[in-house]
Amino acid sequence: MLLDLTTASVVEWSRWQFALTAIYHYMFVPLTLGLALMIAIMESVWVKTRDKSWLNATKFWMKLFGINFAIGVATGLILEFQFGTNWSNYSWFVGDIFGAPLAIEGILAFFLESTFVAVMFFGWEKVSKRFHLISTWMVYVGANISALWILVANAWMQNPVGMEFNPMTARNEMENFWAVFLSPTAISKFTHTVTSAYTLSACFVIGVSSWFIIKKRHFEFSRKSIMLASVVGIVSIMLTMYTGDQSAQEVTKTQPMKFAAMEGLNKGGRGAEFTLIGILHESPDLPSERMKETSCAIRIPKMLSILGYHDANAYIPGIQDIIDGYTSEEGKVVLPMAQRMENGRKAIEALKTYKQAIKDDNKSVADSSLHVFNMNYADFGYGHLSSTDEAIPHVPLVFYSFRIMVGLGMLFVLLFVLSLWYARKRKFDKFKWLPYLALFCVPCAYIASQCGWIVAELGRQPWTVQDLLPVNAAVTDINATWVMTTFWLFAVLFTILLIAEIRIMCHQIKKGPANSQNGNDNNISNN
Amino acid sequence: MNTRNMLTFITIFIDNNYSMLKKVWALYYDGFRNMPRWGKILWTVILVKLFVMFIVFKLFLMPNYLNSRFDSAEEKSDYVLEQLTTKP
Repeated sequence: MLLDLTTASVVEWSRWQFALTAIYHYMFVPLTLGLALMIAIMESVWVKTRDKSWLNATKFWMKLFGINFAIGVATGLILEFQFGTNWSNYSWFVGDIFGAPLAIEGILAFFLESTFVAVMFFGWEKVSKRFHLISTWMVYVGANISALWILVANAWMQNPVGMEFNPMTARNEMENFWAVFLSPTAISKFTHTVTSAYTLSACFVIGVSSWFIIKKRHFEFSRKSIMLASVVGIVSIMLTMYTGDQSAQEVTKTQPMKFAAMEGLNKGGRGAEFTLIGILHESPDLPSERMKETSCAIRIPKMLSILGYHDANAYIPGIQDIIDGYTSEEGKVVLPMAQRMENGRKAIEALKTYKQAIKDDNKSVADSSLHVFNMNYADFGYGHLSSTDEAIPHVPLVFYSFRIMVGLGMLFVLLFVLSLWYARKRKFDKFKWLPYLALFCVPCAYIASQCGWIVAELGRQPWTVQDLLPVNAAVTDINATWVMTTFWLFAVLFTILLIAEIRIMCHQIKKGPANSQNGNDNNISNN
Repeated sequence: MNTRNMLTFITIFIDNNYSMLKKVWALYYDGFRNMPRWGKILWTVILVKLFVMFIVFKLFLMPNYLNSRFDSAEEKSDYVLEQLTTKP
């Protein structure tokens, strides 16, 4: 069972609360990122061609953007509240590193969005066309820059670089901003997240336009929207695949346990197979209950090594290899987990001794304990684990989420190609199943997007900061009942917000674009 | 910059940019005034949401644990160090 309501600890409730808030928050974010891009393109086409139908399309999609933006704005702040309340050890431990990107994000988001969103919505006929267009593009840039800083902070948690731990203050201090900002993990995380957000938005635009086609309304408006969204969708999904590949390579190097969990790979090796699909189940032959056996599997030989290193014979460690210790493809010797746990305990003990020695003004003890601490800091987090089992994430959730995400991604490729082809040929409405497929893809896009985050965040468990701080040490020493109470309050608030968004949005979609000849513009097939 | 200089700066800024500031004011004023019904509903949702988040959640339910218990950075770091070195 994922969560036992009667016995769940403060760590479990805090994790569930964070997951709930992040999932709801990310219902709003990707549409904001991608729809802003498409609105900006539509308005650019209108400014360039003076074709009023593009103005019409811009205004309609801007309305839906506004609803999503308004309902979703500031929902992410709840996550920041949770850092202070439920994750105070974590928030102190990472303070300087995490605080800087979030502060920049807050300031940029506030100034860019509050200024240019107002011009975008209130500025029609009040500012010049060119200035209005610049404002629309700035909203797109502002939203994406906000995402950039958040994702830089998240990437640092996955791959902590560019910092030094100060044992006096118990905080990590930023040593190299550019190492944090330009770490390969940050780059692949940002590019993969935003391109997948554009993909989701393309699915949304095609889905809503398809609904008009099913209802035999606004054909020409829908055709143009589908054409544009299909092009954006094709480019986005290709970039999503490319950046996903980059991300997989990064994960292989920096989070091998996550990569092994994504595959349900217990024992690795050279030329490792990729499991296309399979069913995970428990097996008494496996050394840990957290490890799963895969049956009914369809496998592609050597594909996992290719995914991990672009080399068919590269070595990919499995869960058991990581526990036993291994030598990575880069030649790095990774110690057995038991040894890393021992090193972690030495680091914890040395930190305690160092602090006491400083208080007692005992310089020699302070120096020697600091030396021991520095030697073992890389394994600091392992000292908080009580068994090697704790280092294994929830394999089935990560394994299935990854396959759902990739499988749906393939479905979107098909959708975008067919949509572009048939909308261009003005035959979109002739294939009854195509508009329905497009409608079906709207919730699928949200599911794929959430699955991506499940892989990223659940796959790195038990770590809040990879190898340095596990969740049980990061959590605040507070009452689980309190966290459970706020969990349900957030659940109610976010559900109300989501229902409000869906209702207001559905109402506006039913009304359709304002100037589309009362919904009876030319039929796609007759043009 | 002291308060007096700041006030002088603001006064000069307003004098020099009066027409621009008037346009900005008109943009927001007319925008909110002529907002359609769905826009007003959205603003109601936003305001209620912000009230619940900042007043109810932040003040009463989600206080910053360390800030509410300790005054100085040293006390906070001592507490977190103890947590990091004593937790199982």
